[in-house]
Amino acid sequence: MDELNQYYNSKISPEKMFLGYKELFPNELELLVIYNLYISKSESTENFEYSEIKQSILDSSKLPFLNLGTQIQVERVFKKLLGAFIERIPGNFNQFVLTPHAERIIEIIVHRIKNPYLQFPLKETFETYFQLPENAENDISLLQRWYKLGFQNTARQVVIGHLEGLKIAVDQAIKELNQVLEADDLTAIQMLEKFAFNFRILGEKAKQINEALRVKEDVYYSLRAIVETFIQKTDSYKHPNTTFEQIAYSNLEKERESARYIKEEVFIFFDKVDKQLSLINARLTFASYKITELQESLRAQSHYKINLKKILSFLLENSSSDKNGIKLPNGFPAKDIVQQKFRFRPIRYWDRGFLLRGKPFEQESDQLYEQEERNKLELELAQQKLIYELCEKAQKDLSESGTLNLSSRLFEIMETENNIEVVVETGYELMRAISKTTQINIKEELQSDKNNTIHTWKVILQNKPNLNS
Amino acid sequence: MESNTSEQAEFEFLKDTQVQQHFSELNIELLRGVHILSSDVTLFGILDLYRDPFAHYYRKLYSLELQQRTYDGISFFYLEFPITGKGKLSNSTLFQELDAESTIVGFILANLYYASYFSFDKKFHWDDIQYEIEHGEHKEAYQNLFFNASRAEYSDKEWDNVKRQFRVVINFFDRIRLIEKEESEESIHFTVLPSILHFIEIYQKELENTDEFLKEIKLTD
Repeated sequence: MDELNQYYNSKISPEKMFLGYKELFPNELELLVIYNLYISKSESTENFEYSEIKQSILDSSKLPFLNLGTQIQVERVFKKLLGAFIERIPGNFNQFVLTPHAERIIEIIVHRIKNPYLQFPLKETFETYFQLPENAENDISLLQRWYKLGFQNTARQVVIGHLEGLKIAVDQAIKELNQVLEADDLTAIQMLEKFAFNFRILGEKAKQINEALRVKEDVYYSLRAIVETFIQKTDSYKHPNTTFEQIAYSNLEKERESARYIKEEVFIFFDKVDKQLSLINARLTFASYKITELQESLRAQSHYKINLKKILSFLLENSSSDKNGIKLPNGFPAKDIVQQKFRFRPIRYWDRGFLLRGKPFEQESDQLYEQEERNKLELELAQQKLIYELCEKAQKDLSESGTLNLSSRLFEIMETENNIEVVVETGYELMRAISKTTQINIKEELQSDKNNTIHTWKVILQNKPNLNS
Repeated sequence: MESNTSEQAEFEFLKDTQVQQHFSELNIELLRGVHILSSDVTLFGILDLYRDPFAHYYRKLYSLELQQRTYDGISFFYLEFPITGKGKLSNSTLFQELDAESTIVGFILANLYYASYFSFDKKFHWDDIQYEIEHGEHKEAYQNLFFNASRAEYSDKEWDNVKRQFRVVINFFDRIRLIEKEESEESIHFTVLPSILHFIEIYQKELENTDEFLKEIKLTD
């Protein structure tokens, strides 16, 4: 088994791969010849005569899309086919059959185009092929055989086939769907109905795959249990002393590793399947959702789409514009929408204004200065009052005696008040008050007060005689 | 007394702390014509939870219909006038007539939305609109309308002017959440939201019988 494993796991050189390819893969013409033979084999016989094969080569070479022209070396093509794709029937030199490999190649392509897995219930396949052999925990060769033949060659291929088939079908359907949507008319609706049906089938299939893959949970747990058994067997083996025991222990270890390897490989595969399936599911869900949505409303949507275009086109061509802006065409309704204008919005700013109102600033006072100023003011007031009184008295004296020596009077005031300003202001004030009714005689004789502070010409005031009397 | 009790029961939802906390915002948004999309988790969540009581509230107090639509997997709420009239918003400060610019840009946006029907994101850029104006199917009509003349080239100033006109409407549609503007000062960049369906519904009558509608308009003109 080890040798077999080694053989399978060893790497193949690129050169060998290239030779394998040359031998196993037909070129375009060869493929079409094989296909021609494949479809022409009847139920009664699968055999072909040389002449039939020759005719098939000629017919295929004339297919217009191959562009091969007329010069075809039939014999050369035949020889190339003979071997990997066509073989002689033993004992009958002139009879040929398609090799199983040739049939498989055709089937791969046919499956790719018309995926048969979509028709197979995957769940049953799964249950059959993923069934772990009984007693595998006691006999590693059973598990190994299952892995090679059941899992690697069959179960894995079937699952991959199903997934591939589904993926291609979904991609293709989405591609076609997009093309349908480019169509601008109502036939799109009918086409879409067909797609909706296809998508339902694909959806069903995805659901089936999902369900089938639940079986893998069982495989997963069974495999884990088997590996666990092998681990326990190894762990519980007593320390090997004799050569026989050492060999037995080494074998147990190999079995444990082999079981572990199989478990890992299967898990990795399941993981890949999960990822791929969720990818397909996502695409399918999205496309199905769009399909369902469209199906429900496409008749209306498509109608709207076309009409939206018509109206926009009408609006663009018939609206007018001037400096005040654009005007809709006459008769085109302007629509109303709910749009309450909340007038209190600016209040926010008023709020802010009120919140920021300032407190009056209380100014500190200089009491000494205030008192000084107050005194000055009072003094001034008192002075003015005094001047007024002095003027009054002078006027009274003047009117009583008919004459007044202003110079002497001013000197008297200077003497009593000792304030030159009062003297001067009284003089001016008196002159202003009496000037119209009194004759002012000024003699150029310099007069001075006692202290020699004031000097003035001799001024005598004399009442004017009353003209009316 | 009985009617008091039943009225209390009708507005029972207002007692919910969540509702109380967001009612003012929600009410103002709806009455301002804003579409509340499922991406607005809080407000949408409240409306979704108390859809019927809210619908009753707006019907009774404003005579408005609270509408819910789901489109492209996205649900949204908005207020609409009842078929019978404008309800209590008949005062002119409570509704707005879509102006010509908004109407035309609305139709442009609705067309853009349909043009990219299967794209997951319906993102557009000023360049897309500029392309339509310069090279689109209706380029001459666009140019006559927005530039007052169809020429090979336009100055930057002229483009700025057209862009400004669009920007005003784009901002308005962004405010009422028919589109979502990307934060970009220098350029116009936006996603047309499924709520654009509401704009289409507003013109439902005209869109259902477009040929007849256009024929009639052309006759009256």
